[in-house]
Amino acid sequence: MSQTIWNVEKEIRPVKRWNIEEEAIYILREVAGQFRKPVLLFSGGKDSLILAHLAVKAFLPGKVPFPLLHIDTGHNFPETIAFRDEFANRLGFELIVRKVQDSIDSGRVQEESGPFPSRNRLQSVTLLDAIAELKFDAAIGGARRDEEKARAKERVFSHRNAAGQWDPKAQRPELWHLYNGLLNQDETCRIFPLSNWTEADVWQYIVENQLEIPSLYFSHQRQIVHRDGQLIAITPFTPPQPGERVETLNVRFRTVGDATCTGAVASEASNVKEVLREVLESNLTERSGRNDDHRTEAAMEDRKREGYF
Amino acid sequence: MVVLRIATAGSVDDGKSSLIGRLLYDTKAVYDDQLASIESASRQRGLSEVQLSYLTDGLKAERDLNITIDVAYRYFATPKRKFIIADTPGHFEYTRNMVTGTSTADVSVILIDASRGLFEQSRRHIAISSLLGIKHLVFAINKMDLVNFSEGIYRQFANQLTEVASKLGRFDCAFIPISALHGDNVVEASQHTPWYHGPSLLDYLEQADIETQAYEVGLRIPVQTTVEASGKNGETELYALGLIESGEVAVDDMVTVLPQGTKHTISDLRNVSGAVPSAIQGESVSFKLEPPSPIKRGSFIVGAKDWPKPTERFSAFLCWLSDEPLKLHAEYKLLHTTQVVSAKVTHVVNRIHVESFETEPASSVGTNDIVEVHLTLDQPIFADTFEECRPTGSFVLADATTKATCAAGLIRRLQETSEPVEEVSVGIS
Repeated sequence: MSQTIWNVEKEIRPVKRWNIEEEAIYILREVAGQFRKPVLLFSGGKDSLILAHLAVKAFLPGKVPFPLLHIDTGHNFPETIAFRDEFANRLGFELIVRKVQDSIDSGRVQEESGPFPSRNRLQSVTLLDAIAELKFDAAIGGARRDEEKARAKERVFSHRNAAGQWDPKAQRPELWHLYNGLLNQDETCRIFPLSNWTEADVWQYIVENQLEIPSLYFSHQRQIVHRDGQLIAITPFTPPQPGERVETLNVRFRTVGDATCTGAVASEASNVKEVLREVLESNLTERSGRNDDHRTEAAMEDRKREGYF
Repeated sequence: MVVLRIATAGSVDDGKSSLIGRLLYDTKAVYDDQLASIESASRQRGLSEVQLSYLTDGLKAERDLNITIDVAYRYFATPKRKFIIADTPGHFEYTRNMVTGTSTADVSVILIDASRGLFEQSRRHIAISSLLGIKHLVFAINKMDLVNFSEGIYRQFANQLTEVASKLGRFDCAFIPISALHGDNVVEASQHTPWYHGPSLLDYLEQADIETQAYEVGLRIPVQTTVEASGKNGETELYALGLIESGEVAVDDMVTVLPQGTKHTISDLRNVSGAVPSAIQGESVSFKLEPPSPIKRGSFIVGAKDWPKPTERFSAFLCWLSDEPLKLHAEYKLLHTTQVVSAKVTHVVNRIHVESFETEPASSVGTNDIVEVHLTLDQPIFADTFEECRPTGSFVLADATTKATCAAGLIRRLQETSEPVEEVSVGIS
């Protein structure tokens, strides 16, 4: 009989198989244990509110040991901001807001020019400044690997150098659930507890836990224009261009980011279950409505190197 | 829903990225906009056919060099299971990625090119799967279309692989004749292989028995962090938070807190859903100790008996991940459960040849080497061997200066006294 290194044949006793919720809670507790001053990046979008909800669960019966940080582009839908404030207040979180407008006013960044300016990319500077100003050493984000191809390769504990930049070729190997959060002076980590969640998992979780989410995710009437194959909502930051025809449609949003780069989808889904059904049947990724990803083939990879979420 | 974690490894041309692309595509995990985007990327590179492999090769450098340089994670689901694929390159220089991707896997899917011979990288993936304790191996014998779907060639590979696998470990093996390019036996049974009566690859993955191993070492809860909450009379109470890595725990159970060695009972036990009378391996819990104990991150909750002995010296397999070679007797940070201690490698016993498990003398340790070493710590840890309990028998080494992860470690033998660690050679007898 041949000799093997490990004897894997063992009597089977009941054990709990790790699911994605248990994994996320484990990661959040690791953040609290490993870092001096973590912060949870919160936009009011569904991923960040699931994160905040999981954080509440993870630290019961105690309080979540980190605040929320929102980087406000100034181009948000008012519904998102109202939801953000109400949510933070209801769950007892400290909410810190830093504004891209302040970065523009102080000359740290310049507003984009061109026909469809977006502040999406400018957020990275405001975010890095906020992390430096408030001396955070870990920033927890709701990014998922299924969202985008560069994110598919990112670690759960994603190291950032002292300038806040990501080097995709020099990532720390991540083995088992031993996450290496050791840092040198001024280095930080981005932490992604929802790495292994998919969009369908997110909606499933919202259904099962009956979470409240911003009204933008449900079907509502809105003035839109068709632009580059996308439905763009008419807002003060995204006015119709000459020659575009404004229509009123029943739409909802699959992501609720900055209004300048968030496309709507035609939808009649008016509650979470209907949205879930729609997601399961959809032929498009949720970021298909994000024109910030479509600027070049490696748009996300490039932005992430600079310090994006 | 049950989540199955799959590790794949393969080289540039054995069709691994195509296989994954095919799985994603045929289970409708590929969206129209992703397809449009890879169509356009294929066109820009002057390719006439859409490269399904671009679904997994996400980074610019990979598309330009036509290689896969890192671990990519892919997701798809069927009504039965959710799947996470850790997709890694197969070349020798990516052994480290293979180890990383395989460390969390339930099943290894190993691609074989039926139009060519058996490559070292297949042996390497089998060996790494064995080292990391993976029980299920699926051999996807690919490019069957190039060998006229020959049963004889399939049998030849199956026999050869059975022999290799039985030498390298104790596995549950499956052999599936496929064509990733055309989709034969990937999702649907193929018309071209009437002689094959086994499952398609997806059928196998949906049905594989994937019981998590229950460890037999007793209770093991490394404390991740603590929180404070107010008790009934307004007093501050300290709660420990952690994952039950082994064993089970119930309210009023007597436990030991290490390193102090004090005895306490468990009260106010909670899992992620709320208060519970008991909890088992795999659950994240929080609880109070009576009488209270000054627990913190790194404290270790174990049973009243069955607790691991403290150890400062042990032997371990190391997979060297860093580009910087191992420095003997230099300080490294050793991350074990929720602790970080300083460690030195004092002796390299031998290098393990990744394709055969044969050992050879090693004077230096570099990238992708798998070696057996002796380690000495600056303070004791409480550990098990990897064979007894993977989470408390594994560790990583980080560079003391850069803090970057430089090795994955699997504890082989713990030493409790001051005798030198006994040298036992590994490999096939």
